[in-house]
Amino acid sequence: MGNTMARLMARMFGSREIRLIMLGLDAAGKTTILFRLKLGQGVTTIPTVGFNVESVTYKNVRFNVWDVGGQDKIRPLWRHYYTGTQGLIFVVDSSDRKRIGEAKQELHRIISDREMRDCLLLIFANKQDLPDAMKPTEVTKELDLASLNNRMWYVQPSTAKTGDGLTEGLSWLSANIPKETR
Amino acid sequence: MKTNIGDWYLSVTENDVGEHVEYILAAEFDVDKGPTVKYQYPRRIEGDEELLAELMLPDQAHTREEDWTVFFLHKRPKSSNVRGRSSSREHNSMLYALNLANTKVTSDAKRGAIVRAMAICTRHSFIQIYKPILLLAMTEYFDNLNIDVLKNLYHSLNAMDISSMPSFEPYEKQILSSNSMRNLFVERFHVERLQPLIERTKAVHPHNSILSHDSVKASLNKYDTHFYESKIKFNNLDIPMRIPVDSFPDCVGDPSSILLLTTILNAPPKSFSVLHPHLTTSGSKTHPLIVLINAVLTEKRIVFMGPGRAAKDVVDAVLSACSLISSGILRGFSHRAYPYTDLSKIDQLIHVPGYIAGVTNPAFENHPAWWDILCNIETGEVRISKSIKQPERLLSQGVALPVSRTAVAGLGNSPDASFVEDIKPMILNRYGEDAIRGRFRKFISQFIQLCAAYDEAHGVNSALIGSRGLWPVREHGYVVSGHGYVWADQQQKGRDLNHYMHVIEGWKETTNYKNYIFDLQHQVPIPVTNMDLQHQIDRLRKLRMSSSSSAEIFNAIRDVVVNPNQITQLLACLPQSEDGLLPIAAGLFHAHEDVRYSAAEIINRIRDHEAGRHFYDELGLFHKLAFERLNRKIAEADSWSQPSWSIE
Repeated sequence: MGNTMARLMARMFGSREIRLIMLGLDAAGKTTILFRLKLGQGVTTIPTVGFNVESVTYKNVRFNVWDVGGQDKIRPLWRHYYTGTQGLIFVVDSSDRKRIGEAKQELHRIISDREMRDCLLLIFANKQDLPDAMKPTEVTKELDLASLNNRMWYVQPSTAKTGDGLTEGLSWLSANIPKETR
Repeated sequence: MKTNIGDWYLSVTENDVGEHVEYILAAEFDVDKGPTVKYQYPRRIEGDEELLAELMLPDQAHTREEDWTVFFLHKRPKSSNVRGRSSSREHNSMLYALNLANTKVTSDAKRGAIVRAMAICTRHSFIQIYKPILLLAMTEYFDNLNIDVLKNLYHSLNAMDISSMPSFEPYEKQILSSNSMRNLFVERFHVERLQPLIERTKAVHPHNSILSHDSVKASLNKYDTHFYESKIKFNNLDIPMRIPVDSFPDCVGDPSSILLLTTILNAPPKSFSVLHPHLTTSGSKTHPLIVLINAVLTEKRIVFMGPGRAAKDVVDAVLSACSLISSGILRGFSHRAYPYTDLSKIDQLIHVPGYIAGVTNPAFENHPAWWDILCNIETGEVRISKSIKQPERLLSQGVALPVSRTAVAGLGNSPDASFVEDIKPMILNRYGEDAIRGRFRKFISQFIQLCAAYDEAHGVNSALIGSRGLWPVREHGYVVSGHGYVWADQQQKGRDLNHYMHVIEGWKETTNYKNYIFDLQHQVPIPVTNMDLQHQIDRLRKLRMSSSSSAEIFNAIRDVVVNPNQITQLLACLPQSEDGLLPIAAGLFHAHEDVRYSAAEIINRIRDHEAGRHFYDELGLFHKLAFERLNRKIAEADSWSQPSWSIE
């Protein structure tokens, strides 16, 4: 009953809820992005044991963001978060050229999962402030995004520490997620 | 992959050394690799180390300085070809692990923090006694990352001396756990300071409780016989250990059940959209607490979820559920419990029938296929999964007992409804854990009696009834007739049995039912065999009886309950939470004089009993005076060498 009411209100006033999952290799900056969005300021983060989950409201859209730890041992657990997810935020450390191949492999593994077939893909090419950071076009090429069929994707350059580029990413998501998801 | 109940992830090889503690483990969250087991002492545990490491480093450990988890290791018998596990040794084959995870934020560490965990794996279910020493060891371990810390801890823990810890028979344990008197069975504790005092006062005051002696009182008051006191020397510190002597295998740790119950009882009322005959005994309006209890009893797959909560909170919920429903009567719940678990074990977990798991990860909510019941310990909501398996056949008997429709309206609450009505004010008025546990124990023993009555009413060939059951088939040799659950009338009985029909049927399919039957058939002989003592006491409590039928009961108890073991059994039927000796003491004012003397004689025996004297002390002055007056008369009559005092 209460739920129905809330949903009705949400429809009347145009607020929506979007379930997102944020993945990426360890130390890519996922948790920093999450708390930058949530708190509007930079926080010093420590490695995530398991996951963090927060909801962030931006322009009338409530983003439910799951930030899951990235160490290789725990990557097999990512799949348990896929159910009901509308968007994937994949975070890349643009300065880590050594591991961009590994990032590509993980990304393609995630989106080939059946449960992820309809979800939007936003890539944060993070850590743009670092010298020698790859530019979005380079990240696009390294991740082999051109090979993706039937997938909406977007690469957004970002610097989580300062917050640059983050809201632009959310805007892209809210603009492209179908209004009626059911 | 092994998917057998319980032993699907870690198994340790059985060793015969009767150590308290068999392993000490240390784990670390490696910033590059993830959860990693760092050290194991004195030997390695076979099996998947990663799973072990993840149990020790709970989700979101990085967000709190300290967290605790509990997990169980299942032993594989030495000869690996022996697969069958007799249910009697089920609990001996388990190790209980208490684990502490700490996070230290420090700029010295790569990526700014160190997350470490240490676990003590012990044979004892009372793991809570190790909390202080684990904290100390952890502090040391952070300063000195070395296996020597584990080694030192291991040897300290195993040096604990419990050789003089008394052991108790089942009825004695029941008396201890359902009564709070501090000095019950104090004679069994070889407290050096106290022993001479106890002997001396016993000689001087054979009848009076030694408690009344002031000097003894003062010394004894410091001593609570619910615990055995020992100590551990660790790094030159003497750490006192208080070991509960009345614990049972399914009571792991010292969980606070009040928190869980409060949350469930305070949750906004809801109606269940998914119904299940084993669970929703009163349809969609069944109380969530009853649904949860029925789910544990009938071994549904249960998840306690605490989104954003510390792992220790969900651990507490799981351990509480096991302990409350077991009540020391049923067993096997902790054997299928995963007090804290995470996504890494999910593929195996969902195949464990009737698992009870604690999780902090809200992702579980999105996977109703993983569980049958989800209890959110944050909101108190109890949810039944829409994909829960409905029982294939409803019933073996299938027929409800005839109850007239007009009678139902006038009947009292069913036992589960009155249980909820009792628990609510107890929680509201902040009753203690003991009182809550006592009420659960009453509920569980009632439930079993209902089952036996159900089998009897339906003429089922039942292991619950018969010479090795709860009561013999034809009350063979009974001095006073009647057995089992006490109902005010047949209508009420029929209604209650119909109400519980499906839960009873569901329960009979479970492992804990099979364990119960096993225990029933292997129990030591009951001291009182020619009457159902519990039944008669319940009649005195519940029914309005004619003076002649209550007279029958008092006289039967006087004739039958004579030796100490028989009195112990009687006392087990008279817990504090149900007013202790009052049902018996009421007989001191019975209309018939001979019954008054019978009651006095019973109380006299109780007063001379090692536990009974503490029950006597709890009695009000009014009853004590009445007793002493009658007792004096008995003594006078005896001194006149009358053949019997009951002559008019």
